[in-house]
Amino acid sequence: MYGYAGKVLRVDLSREQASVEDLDAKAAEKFLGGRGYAAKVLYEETSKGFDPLGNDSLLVFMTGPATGTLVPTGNRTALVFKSPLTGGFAHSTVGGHFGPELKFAGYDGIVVRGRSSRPVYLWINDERAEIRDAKDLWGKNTFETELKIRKESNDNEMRVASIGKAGESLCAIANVTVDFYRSFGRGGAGAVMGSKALKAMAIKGARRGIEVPDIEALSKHVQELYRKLQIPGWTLPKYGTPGMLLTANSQKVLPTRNFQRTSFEEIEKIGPEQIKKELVKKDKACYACPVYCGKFSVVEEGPYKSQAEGPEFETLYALGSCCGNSNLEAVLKANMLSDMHGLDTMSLGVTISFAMECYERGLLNQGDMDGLDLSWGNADAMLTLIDRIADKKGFGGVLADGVRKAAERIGKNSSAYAMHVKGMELPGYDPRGLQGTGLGYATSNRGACHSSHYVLTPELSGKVNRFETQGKGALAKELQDLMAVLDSLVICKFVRYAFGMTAEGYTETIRLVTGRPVDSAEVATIGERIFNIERMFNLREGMGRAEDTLPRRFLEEPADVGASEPQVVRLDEMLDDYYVNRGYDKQGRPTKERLKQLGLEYAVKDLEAD
Amino acid sequence: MRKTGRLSVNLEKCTGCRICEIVCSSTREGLYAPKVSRVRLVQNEEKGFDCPIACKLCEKPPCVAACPTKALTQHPLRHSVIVKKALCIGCGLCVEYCPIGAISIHPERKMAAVCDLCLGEPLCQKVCPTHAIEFHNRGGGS
Repeated sequence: MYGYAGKVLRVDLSREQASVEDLDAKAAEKFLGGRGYAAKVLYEETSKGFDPLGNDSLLVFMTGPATGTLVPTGNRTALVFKSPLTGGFAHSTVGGHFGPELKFAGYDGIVVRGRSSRPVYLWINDERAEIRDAKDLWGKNTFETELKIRKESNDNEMRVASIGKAGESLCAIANVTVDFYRSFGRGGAGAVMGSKALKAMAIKGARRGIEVPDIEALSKHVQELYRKLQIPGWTLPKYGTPGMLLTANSQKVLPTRNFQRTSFEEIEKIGPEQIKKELVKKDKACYACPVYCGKFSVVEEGPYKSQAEGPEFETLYALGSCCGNSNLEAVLKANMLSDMHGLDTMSLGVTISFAMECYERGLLNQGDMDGLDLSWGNADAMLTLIDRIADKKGFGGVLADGVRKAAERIGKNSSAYAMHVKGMELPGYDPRGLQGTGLGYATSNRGACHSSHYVLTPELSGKVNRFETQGKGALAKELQDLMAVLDSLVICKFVRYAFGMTAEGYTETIRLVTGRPVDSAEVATIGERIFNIERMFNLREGMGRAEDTLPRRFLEEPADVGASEPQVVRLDEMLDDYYVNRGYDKQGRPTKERLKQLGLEYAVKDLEAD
Repeated sequence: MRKTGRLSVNLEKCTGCRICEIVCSSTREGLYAPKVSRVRLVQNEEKGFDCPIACKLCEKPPCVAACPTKALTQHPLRHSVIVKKALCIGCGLCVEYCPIGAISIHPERKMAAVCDLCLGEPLCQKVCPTHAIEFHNRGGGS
């Protein structure tokens, strides 16, 4: 099969067995790979109500047909699982070099099920796939784990995905760290790995290459894509994602002090120029990426001595402006601690900022917080707290499962300040100034997520009016479907400009990689199919219209977001329109006919069961 | 007149994207297999270090001297190392003697594989997105 390795590794940790099966060619055609293929596996091989941290949970790692090829950013891997944070469907993708390595070892993906009775790690070298003892790795941070596995394997080229303390202690905001500074970030995959006693996966793919039908034609096509990525004045190669900070701030959508403000008065201190001047040592890129948005940064000495690839925009927002923190060196240190402990910086920052607002409002006192002074911007207290969250120690344990759980534990109506959708903490764009983005947050399958739709791009660029609700239902649907295609190829959203913002832009790449001619209608249908199998997973779990909502703050507290007057998100004006565009009923359920049109007949039974 | 150059790397510019490896393998092998590229990236991600390594065209190549079957010779003009396929037995002595790890045994063909500078027009240098790979006259300068 062109573009694919053709094999999937199956690992059953309860039995300590690994086996190889052929990639399901039909499923690869219908779901492409990555997030789509994995979503199908998760949906079909689990049933309603299983415990995300129990025996029956699955972790599905899947690359796509573009992974490992020369296609710009052909480096990503999707990880699909039931989220311990949301209780629903979750996907998370990572860049770096892990995915290509997996394919060069001969596998498109790995499906992990069961739970081991002792700490183990998965060690893969081409055909050899072994479940190894991880007694000596348990308790180590992700950097130590990666280095130790490489040393023991006598191979510095092994690619490692691992969990730190946060995953081991089952924090619902724990992630999986890859290549030291990259992460399967969102949804709590680290806790799922921890629950399986799976400390790490180490991969070396020494032999196999990826075949495409006409490698010269694909090379030519890639040269054309490179040309389109020569975007004059593009801030991404120059500053990385922090380039967006100034835009978000000047448009008054940069969440500050837990979304109480929409711009940060100390923005210069954590802005892109400052980062470049103070921290950045070198540009870094993932495999096959000509954009190099990664910035290797170092604080050489002092209390914040640290190094990381970052801080990224979302980290700067979550651990910076959202916590009222303008200490840039402390943000880098928090970033590194998150990578080492295996914590999602976004969920982490929003959860800490929630605690800070609770403290400001007197819902928490220092005694509740083990003596920590969580005043806005107290960076040192934040750093201490991060260690305690990873360990679930004291007040750290109150916050360790994200903001929804924290509000339940604290009570006192603190949920009014818990900024999440479906349990997942918000990204760094205030939706009151981006109506369609608000709709995207409310309806994305994994909860508050911007990268599942990127409606913010046409809204922030002025291509559509960001304060209007008209037409946003169709826009959110189209872009959610399209982003599902990118997550299944699997390529990075940051090169979408080279392909254009429509399904048409991806037809040529898919044809040249897989050898299968597809038209734009089929690409759009693939995306819609992927979105809907995930939606059916959530519906099966009982998550429907009631969960397609936003934090009360966005619906009831008007904010100055740069419009002529303060705004709320007018979600009601958009949600029905969105459902109509999706072919859903008023309850947000796909009709039988729609599912059949999408080739998802097997999901109809779960509509009826409801 | 770029027939006698050699590759060098600007370490500050290399991002570790491996596009050099991918393009080398696709041109030489007809598939995407960076592990059999003639230019190989040496990386330390923890410290943010990246450096592509390719044959440096030694004055007295130890690989050539070590070859027991005289399968390796040096091109008289370009100074690149040539592998005579009929003679190579895949013993790997060249790999052991190369001080920088620029020569390898091809995992399927079991023969020495080494950069030949694409006969004077190195593709890796052309495709490098940050121009980290440079092609200089042997002995310095450009």
